[in-house]
Amino acid sequence: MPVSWWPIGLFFIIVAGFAATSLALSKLVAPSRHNEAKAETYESGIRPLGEAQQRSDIRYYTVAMLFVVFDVEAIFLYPWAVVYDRIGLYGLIEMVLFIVLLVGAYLYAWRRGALDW
Amino acid sequence: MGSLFTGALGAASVSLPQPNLLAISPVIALTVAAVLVLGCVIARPLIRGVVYPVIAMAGLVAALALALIQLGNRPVTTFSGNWRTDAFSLFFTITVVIAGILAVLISDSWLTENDVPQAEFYAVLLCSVIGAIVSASAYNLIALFVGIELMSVPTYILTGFAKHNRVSNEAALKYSLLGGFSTAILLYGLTWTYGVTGETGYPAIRGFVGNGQGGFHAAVLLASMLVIAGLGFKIAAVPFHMWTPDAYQGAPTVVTAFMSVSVKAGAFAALVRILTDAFGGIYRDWSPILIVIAIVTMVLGNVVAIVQNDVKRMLAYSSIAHTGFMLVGLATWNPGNAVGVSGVLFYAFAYTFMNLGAFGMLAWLEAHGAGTGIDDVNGLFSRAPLAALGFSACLLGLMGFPFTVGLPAKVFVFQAAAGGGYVWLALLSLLLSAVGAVYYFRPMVRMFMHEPKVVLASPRQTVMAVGLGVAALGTVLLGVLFSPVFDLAQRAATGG
Amino acid sequence: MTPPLEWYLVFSALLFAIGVVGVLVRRHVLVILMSVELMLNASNVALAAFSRYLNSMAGQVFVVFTITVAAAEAAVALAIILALARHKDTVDVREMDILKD
Repeated sequence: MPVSWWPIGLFFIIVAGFAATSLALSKLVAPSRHNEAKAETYESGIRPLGEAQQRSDIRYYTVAMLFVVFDVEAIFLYPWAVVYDRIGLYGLIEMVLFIVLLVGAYLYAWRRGALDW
Repeated sequence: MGSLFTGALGAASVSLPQPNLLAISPVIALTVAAVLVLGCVIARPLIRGVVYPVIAMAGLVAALALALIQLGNRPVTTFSGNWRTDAFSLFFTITVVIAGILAVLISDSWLTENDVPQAEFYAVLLCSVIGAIVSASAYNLIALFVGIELMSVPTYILTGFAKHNRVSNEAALKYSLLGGFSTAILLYGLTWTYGVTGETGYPAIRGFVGNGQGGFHAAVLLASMLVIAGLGFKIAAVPFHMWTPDAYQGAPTVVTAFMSVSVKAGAFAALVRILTDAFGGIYRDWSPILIVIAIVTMVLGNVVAIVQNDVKRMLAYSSIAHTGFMLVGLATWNPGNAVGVSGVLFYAFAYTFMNLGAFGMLAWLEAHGAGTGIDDVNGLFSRAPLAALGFSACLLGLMGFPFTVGLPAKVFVFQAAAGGGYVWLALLSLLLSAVGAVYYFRPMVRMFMHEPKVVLASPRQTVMAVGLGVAALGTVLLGVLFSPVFDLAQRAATGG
Repeated sequence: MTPPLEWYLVFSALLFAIGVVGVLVRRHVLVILMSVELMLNASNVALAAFSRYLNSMAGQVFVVFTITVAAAEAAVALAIILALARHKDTVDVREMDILKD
C-alpha cells in the first residue's frame, strides 16, 4: 500500500522544489528597484479604486442561506439514490414526501420575497 | 438504521421496516398543521384573517387526541428501533402538546398587536413541539439528536421574534450561540457513545454498557458526562444555566412562557430516557454527579431569585430552581426505585400549568400596558381581581403551596429521594423550596396590599384569558385531583 | 496502510478543544459561531472514523444528519446576528450587555 503512493510523494517534492528554485533564482538574478506603482494592488493594469473591504449587499445573505439549506438537504438524496431500486415503492413515497416538503419550503421562501432582487 | 444501510449496500434485497404510523400520528398531525400554516402564506391572496391560530390549534388538539387514544396500548418500537411510543413518551407528548395549546392561546393577542409575522410564529412553534415529542420518543442516538435540535433551533427563532426589539435580538443571539455550544457538546457525547459501543439504539447500548464492569468504562463515562452536560444546558441546570436568565428575560413573554416549559420537558424526557435506559447500568456513576448538579442548581436558582427586581427575571431563576427539584427525582433513580422518575414526569406536567400560567400573566400585564418590574404588579387585585387570583394560584403552585399542583409534585420527588436513601437530600430540597416562598410571596404581597402604580389599559383579551384560566384552574384542580395523572406517571416510569 | 483509529480520534479531540477554547475566549460573534461549527465537525470526523473502524453505517448516517442540523443552526444564528447588527453596529459580544444582573 505505501509503495503505490510514491509517485504522489515525488510529485509534491517536484512541485515544492520547482517553486522554491524559481523564487530563489529570481531573488538572486533579478534586479530589485522599488517604486510606488509597483507597490500598488495589481488590478491587471487598471488603477485600483476604493477600498478592498466593501460591504456586500445584504440580499446576498438570504440567497446564500437558502443555498446552504437546500444544498445540505440534498445530501439525503445520495443514500436514497444508492439503494432506490432495492427499497421499492415505500422508499419512493418517503422521498416524494421529503421533496414535497422541500418544494413547500422553496415556495414559501419565494412567496415571502426572499428571491426578489 | 445501521443494519438497514449495511444490508442495503451488501446484500441484493432490502426489507424496509413497516412503520407503525399510529405511533407517530401526533407528529404527523403537527407536521401537517405546520405545513398548512406555511401553505397559507403561499396561497396568501386567497386566505386571510384568523386562519393561522385555528390551523395550529386544530393540529395540536388532533395530536393531543391521537396521543390520548394510545395511552392504553402496549409499547410500540418502530422505524427500525429508532422510535418508541410507550406510556413514557406519550406522557411527555401530552405535556408538550398541552404547553403548545396554552402557548397558542396566550400568544394570540401579542401577535395581532405587535405586527409580527403570524404564520411563521405558529409554524416554528409547532416545529418546536414536534422536536420535543421526538426527543421524548427517540430510542436511538440519531433520533435523539435530531429531536433535540428540532426542539431547540425553533426556540432560538422564537426568542428573537420581536425583530425590532434589541433586547429580543440580544437574547436570541446569546441563546443560539450557547445553544449551539451545548448541542456540540451533546453531539460529542453521542459520538463517543456510538464509538465505544458500536451501537446507536438504546437497548443495544444498554447491553454493551452493562453494569460498567466491561471494558472501555472510562470512555463510557466520558460519553455519559458529555451527554449530561449537553442536555444540562437545555434543562438549564447549573453550571450550564448562563443563558437562561438572559434568554428568558429578553424573549417575548409569550415565548418565554412556552419554551420554559416545553424545552425543559423535552430535554428532561431525553435525559431521563438516555440515562435510565441506555446508561441505566452505570447509575452508580452518574447519580452522584446529578446529585451535585441538583444541589447547586436548587441553591443558585432559589438564592439568586430572591434579589431580582424584575418578575420575569425572577421567574427565570425560579425556573432554574425547579430544574434542580426535578433533577433530585432523576438523580436518586436506581433500577429498583423508579418512583423518582415518576415524580419527574408528574413535575413536568404540573410545571406546564404553573409556569406557563405565571409567565402568561406577565404577558397579560404587558398586553395591558404594564411592564414586568416588581412595581408593575402593585395593586393588581383592586384593578383586575381575577387576574390577580390567577397569578397568585400559579405563584403558589410554583411555591408548592397546599391545594395547588406544586405540592404533590414536590412531595412525590422528595419522597422518592428519601425512599432511595437520600433523606438528607430530601430535607435540603424541602428547605430550599421554603426559601422559594420568600420571592414568590413578594409579588403577591404587592398585588394585594400595595396601591396601584401603573394604570392598566383594558383591551379585550378573551382568547388569552381562556388560556390563562386553563393554566390557573389546572394548577388548582390538579392540586386536588392529582391521582389519575400520578398513576399515569407511575406507569410511564415503570415502563408500561 | 491506513492510519490507526487513534489518529482520527486525537485529531477530532484537538478540533473539539480548539472549538471549545474559541467559544470561551473569542469575542467576535462570527468567530464564536465558527468555533461551534468546528466542534460539530470534530464530532463528524470521529463519527466517520468510528463508522469505518466499526464497519457500521450508522456513524455515516449520523454525519449526514449532523451536517444538516449544523447548517440549519448556522442559518438561524446568522439571521439573528444580522438582525442584531442592524440595531447595533457591532459584532463584539462584550458590547451585548443590555441583559445582565
